[in-house]
Amino acid sequence: MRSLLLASALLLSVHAGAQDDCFSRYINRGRDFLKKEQFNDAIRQFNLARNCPNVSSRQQEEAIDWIEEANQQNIELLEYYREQAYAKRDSALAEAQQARDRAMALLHASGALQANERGDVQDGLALAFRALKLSPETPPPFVLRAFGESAYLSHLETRSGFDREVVFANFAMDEKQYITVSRDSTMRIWNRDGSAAAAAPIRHEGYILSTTLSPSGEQVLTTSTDQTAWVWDLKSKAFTHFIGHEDEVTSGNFSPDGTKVVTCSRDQTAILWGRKGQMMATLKGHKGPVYEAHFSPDGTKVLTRSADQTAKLWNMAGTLLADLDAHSVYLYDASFSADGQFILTAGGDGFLRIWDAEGKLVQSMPHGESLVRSAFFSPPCPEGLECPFGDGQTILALSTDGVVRLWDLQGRLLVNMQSASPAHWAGFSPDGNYILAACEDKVTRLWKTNGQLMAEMEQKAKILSCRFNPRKEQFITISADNTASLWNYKGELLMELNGHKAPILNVQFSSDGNYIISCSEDRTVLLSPTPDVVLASLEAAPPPPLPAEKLVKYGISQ
Amino acid sequence: MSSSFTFALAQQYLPQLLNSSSGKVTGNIEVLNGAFKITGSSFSQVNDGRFLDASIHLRNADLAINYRLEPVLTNQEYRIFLAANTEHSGQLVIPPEHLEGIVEGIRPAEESLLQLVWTDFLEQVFDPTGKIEITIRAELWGRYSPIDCSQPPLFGSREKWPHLIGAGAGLAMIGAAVLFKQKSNQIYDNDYLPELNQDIAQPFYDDANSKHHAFVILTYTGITVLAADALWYLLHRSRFNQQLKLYRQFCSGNSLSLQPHFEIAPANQSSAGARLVYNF
Repeated sequence: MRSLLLASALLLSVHAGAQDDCFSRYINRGRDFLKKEQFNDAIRQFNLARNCPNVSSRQQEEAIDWIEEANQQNIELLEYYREQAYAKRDSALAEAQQARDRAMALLHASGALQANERGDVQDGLALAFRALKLSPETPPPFVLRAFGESAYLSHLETRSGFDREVVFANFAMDEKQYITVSRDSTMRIWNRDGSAAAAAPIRHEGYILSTTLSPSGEQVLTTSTDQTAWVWDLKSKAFTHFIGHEDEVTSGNFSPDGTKVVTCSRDQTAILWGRKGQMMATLKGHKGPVYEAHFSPDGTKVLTRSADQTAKLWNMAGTLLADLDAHSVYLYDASFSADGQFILTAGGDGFLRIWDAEGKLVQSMPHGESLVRSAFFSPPCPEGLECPFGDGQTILALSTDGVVRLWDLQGRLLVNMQSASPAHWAGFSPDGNYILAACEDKVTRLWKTNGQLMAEMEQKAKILSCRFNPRKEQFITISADNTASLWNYKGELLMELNGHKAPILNVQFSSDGNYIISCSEDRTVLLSPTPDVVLASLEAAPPPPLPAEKLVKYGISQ
Repeated sequence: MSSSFTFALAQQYLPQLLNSSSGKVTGNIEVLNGAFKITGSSFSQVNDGRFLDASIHLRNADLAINYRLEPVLTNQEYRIFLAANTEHSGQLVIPPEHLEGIVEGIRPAEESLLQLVWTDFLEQVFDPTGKIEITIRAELWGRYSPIDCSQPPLFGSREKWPHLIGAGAGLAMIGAAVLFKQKSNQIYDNDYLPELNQDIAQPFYDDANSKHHAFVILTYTGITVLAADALWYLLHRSRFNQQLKLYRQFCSGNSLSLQPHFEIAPANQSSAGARLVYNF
């Protein structure tokens, strides 16, 4: 009997344990499914748990709670998936729209090039503008090129009729006029509409060797093989003839205040002149042709450089203050720093030298066996621009090994910009933050002053020289294939100046950076605005959309 | 009637390229004792050597090219062209404002040394060191006149005679043809048609027919001769006009002529003599 009672108790306890096992097993299974986001399986397990024998009401409620939780999570997940799907759909639609816009932009750009080729430059400009509007954030290079070409062709002004090659052209008088110098020994001044601003040109009796604008941009100094120099006051049209040299006048410069002029000559002298043409002092002492003469920034001294391998420092009375004669081979460059405290000389002996304002040697920086071909201080920061590195104290030197080096005033090498191909031209950007170099492999390279290569621009022909836009992050490269190209600092081609039919001899930006003037051996001068100026004018007065038949003509179907 | 004697004073000529010679001067630019120097300068003729020698030298920043050329005949002269190539700066263009010396109208006397200077050479060439090669080319130009100025072109009666003979022959043939035609018609009308006997009439017909054939042959031949003569005349005249134009251009631009002169004055005081006429 006792045994029977024990067995019954055991059976009862096993049964109760089995009931608990059933409920918790199903609940646990359901929770596992829930974790795996398998909601239907989870709900089925929770329902099985509810149906376990002898489930208490508390357990029933617990199972129902789990079922609701599973349902809730299921709904939330579905919501999430739906939102994801919508987002993906929107993104796909946006991408499709972008692709469509990009395709249309390319189509319009292609149409613009076609229109330009047919001579319908206004149509070309309208199409290129539309192409740019269809890809406003990051226009593809092809669109930029098409807009640049259209802007150039539609706004190009040509001045022809010169008897000989035009060797120099530049804006003057706040861009209202421009001057041209031709190999016919004349310098002419033109109004922007192309009419002559003066009745007769300045005519030398020999080739004009140099042309210099005064700091105010209102006077022009020309020097010539005829042993004389002229200064033309563009405002009053009065001119002054400087006669006194006994050989070709190689170059000249204005004093910073524009009241004096210094000219240098192959007769081994430089002459200081008053603005009315009176000779103030003859700087005698060089034993070879004098090629350069610069006033110090405060206008109290003059620095001359000669083929006799020396530079000399003079006061305004013509007294020799210092002989900068440490270079043992040809002297290629001599210049003042922007603050006038230092003088920089670069020599064929492979040395870059820094002198103080009194002409005392401060530093000598060796460049190995190569000739230091050009060297200059970084520019002072132009007004209105931010120039974190444009301190006017960094020195750029280019030597015949093709390496661009940056030095500080203490003679420490800051950066060695060695590229795949040697450079033959290098220059600072106007803010001093970038360095541009034209290399022998037909590539122009743009570096930050810390040596980081920013862009490489490859061209079809040798790059002869470059010029920075004084106001915008743009620069021009002049190539040996009669073209010049306008680039931005990202290395994107903005405009190709392909209007000349012979080598381009000079390119200049206007001082506001909005216009470009170029002159060539083809005896023409070309003027054009930069593409951003054209874009701004189009934004202000958009061209009317082209009619459907024209779009079809240029291969564009809407 | 008039006649004149013309003395050509200034005959004009056209330039004519007679010969082109070139040579190469090579050297090595290096820094020696603190200065750029050219070492190992040598000269070689490239073609048709009219150069006697040539050499290059650096003087301050200038590159001097010394050369000598064979003397030329009267009415001949040299024109000089230069090209430069350096080892490190490649092909170089010499700007005209930096080229000193005469490059045209050169008539060298024997052994005379000629010089061209590329001024400021060191200033303009990025890296002058290494091998330099200057190619110097001399074009020898002569002068020629496309027309003989000793005798002006003429188109007078002497030159017209052949045309007149041709025209006369043509007209004579046509005239003879007319006569043959008249004779043929006469025989046909008067002898052949009235005769009723065919055997007697046949010879008349044959005679008239052969004369008609002669008429046709002579007419066409005469017309052909006339046309050919007219064409020849036009060609002759056109050639004369061209020669006259050239003569006026190259010979009689300014000339002095002596012409017989006879003048009747209003007061019946006639005079005769010669006058000098200067055309310019």
